[in-house]
Amino acid sequence: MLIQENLNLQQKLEILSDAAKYDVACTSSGADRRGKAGTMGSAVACGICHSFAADGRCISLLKILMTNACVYDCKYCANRSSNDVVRTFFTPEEICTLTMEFYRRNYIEGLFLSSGILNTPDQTMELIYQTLWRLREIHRFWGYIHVKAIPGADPQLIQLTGQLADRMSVNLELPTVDGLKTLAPSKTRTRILTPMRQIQQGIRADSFRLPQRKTLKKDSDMFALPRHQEAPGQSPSFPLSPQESAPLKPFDPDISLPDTPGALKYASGSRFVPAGQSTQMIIGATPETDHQILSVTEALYRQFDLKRVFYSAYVALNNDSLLPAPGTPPPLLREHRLYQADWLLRFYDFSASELLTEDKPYFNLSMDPKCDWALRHLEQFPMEISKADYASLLRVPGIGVKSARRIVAARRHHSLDFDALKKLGVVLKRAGYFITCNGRMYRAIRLDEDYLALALSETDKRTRLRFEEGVGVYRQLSLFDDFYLTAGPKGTDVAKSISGQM
Amino acid sequence: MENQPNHTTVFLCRDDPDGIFTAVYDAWASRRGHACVRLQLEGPSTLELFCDYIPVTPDPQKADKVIGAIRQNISLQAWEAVYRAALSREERKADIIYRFLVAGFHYGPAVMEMLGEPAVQNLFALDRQVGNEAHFFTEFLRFDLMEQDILFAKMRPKSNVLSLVAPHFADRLSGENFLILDVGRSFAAIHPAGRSWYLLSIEKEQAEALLSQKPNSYRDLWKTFHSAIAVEARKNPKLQRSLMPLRYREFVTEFL
Ligand code: SF4
Repeated sequence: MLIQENLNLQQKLEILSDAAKYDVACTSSGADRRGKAGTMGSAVACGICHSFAADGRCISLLKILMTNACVYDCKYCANRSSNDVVRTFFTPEEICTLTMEFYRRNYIEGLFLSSGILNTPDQTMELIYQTLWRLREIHRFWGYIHVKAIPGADPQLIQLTGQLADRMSVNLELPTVDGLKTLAPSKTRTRILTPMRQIQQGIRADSFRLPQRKTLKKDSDMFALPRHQEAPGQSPSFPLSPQESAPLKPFDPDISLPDTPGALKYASGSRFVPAGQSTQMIIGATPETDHQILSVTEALYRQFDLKRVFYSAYVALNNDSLLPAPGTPPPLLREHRLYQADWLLRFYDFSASELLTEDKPYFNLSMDPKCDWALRHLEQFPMEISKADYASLLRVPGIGVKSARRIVAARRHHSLDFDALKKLGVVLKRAGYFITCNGRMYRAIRLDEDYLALALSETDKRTRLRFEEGVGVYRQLSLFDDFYLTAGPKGTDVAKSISGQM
Repeated sequence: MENQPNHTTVFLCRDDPDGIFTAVYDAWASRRGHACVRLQLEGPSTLELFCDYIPVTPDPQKADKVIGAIRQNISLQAWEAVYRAALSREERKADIIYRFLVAGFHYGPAVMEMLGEPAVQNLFALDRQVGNEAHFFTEFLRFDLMEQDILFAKMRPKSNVLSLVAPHFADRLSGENFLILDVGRSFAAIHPAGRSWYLLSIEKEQAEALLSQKPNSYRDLWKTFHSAIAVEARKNPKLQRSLMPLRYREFVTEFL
């Protein structure tokens, strides 16, 4: 593959940011550290968003590829070896300069570095490591770094890199083994899951190393996934077969990590991927159902301790009989429903099998997954606001995590009427159908499935219209439903990512 | 208040934390009864009949007593909320703070959970408004590198958030010389490399001299990145505009 020489920094930046744009995880959350004399940078637990691109997505990090040259030929990818595009690369020093100069001007929170495969996975990973090492050790950069682990690279290199990064990710790319086989034959499930498992073990080992690991602040607790107990005898929902997910080795807490010379010594915190691990799946390039995708998501959270699973609606750009034709619009509403369901898994204690089943494998596009669930469980409603416990409140459409907490706090002091609920952030347009307040209903209605389906789908219509008009709903309502009452700044990551108070 | 117009005493205070907390002290100490006093910012607003007006002279000692009492008898969290509210652009903030403190000194720390109380709701609304605006500037403030290695940023906030924004940058850019200018209020936060930051009011001419310097630019590189990173097939200017309203773009590099 011919690498274009003599491009200037601006031309390289244009090519290598353009080539990185399909990666979705531009967030800077999960690490929390103050600045430090002699370094530049800090990290804020909720993340900071710095701009919005013309597609309305948040820009938080300098998201670039080290190189867009790649020896592989994954069919869905703009950088695949068979595409005729200009190839270039950044030197480690160029990446450092851009990061430092952008950071001090407050353009970015840090760096998100990914790369095509230059000759071999090892060589690629080593260059990434060198870049991070220079950035931390020579430039003394103390801000956020998200870096890709390259499947197939030497575990030692991944370990060293993880000691310099805040977040690492390995993209699962496609939800099923078959999907991978057809579209990315050079990648196998095992090859992808191996570094994912390694990073998970590294994070666990590190948390044992720190006996009094600083517990995250209250708000960030919610980023922890509720632990489900698998019912005995029941096999985990599907997706990762035993031979795919290498067993977690028993961990010996006495072995501590070696200090690499370049490792940033996080003053009192973690030394290995403190902001956790994420991954990404492409939606709509292959025929998997929502049920399959959501089950894989759940397995990733439960079996690999992932912090986030991202979905990327496939943008049809390559001509290939195995792919949707170029110009096919990306399935944005479907992506949105997946994010809503993902939210329900992580913060609302739902399990995938409650939302979808093999018999009902797709989301209802006309209402959010929580309303859809509630309609199928009318026997649990109406719920009395003055009595329902926190977990039950969370299941009511229109009541979010924060409003549920506020209800529990406020009702200790005075009884709540509908007006007060509104001020606490409850969306009565939806919740109104499902609750009573001191025995009274919001409107006199029957809890009738057909009637409610119509009414709720009407309520959701604006969301769908916004997608059709191309407005989207990124900030329409935030998970933390904070447009009414909270104090202080919000988690940017949360407020500005796709969500929806459900 | 409204039902006893003959007895309302209005304490007129300067628009800063010292002014407001001194007025809280004076109004409380006047023992006229909470229903018969009102706090109001000094300014050209019309005087009402049937009100006595008492101008308040800011007194840091009185203000400190109020602050200490809030921290002791309500909570630290309450103090932070009240402080942010005192920076708000809202005209009625002094009285909103007073009403909150009446409830706060009555209920103690629990007041922070009493989200059904209008006095609490009103204060939290101000706190949220100010906190959001301060957070906004941690996101969208942009520095340019000027001569002599000074980073320079301009802002035009509605509420007086500079003192909330400066510490964020002083922490992460501790090794930099920087200056953040509140263009509307003509004062600046100044941070000399390796030292602590301070506020300084700046004369018009000084400000203009600063504003006219030519930046040493990474602007073009940033703009290149900003436009290359958008996915054409997801292009959505309406969404971008709703997330980043035009009126906030005045000093934001990528929109210049
Ligand atoms: S390995 Fe990565 S960069 Fe290379 S073709 Fe596959 S997806 Fe694209």
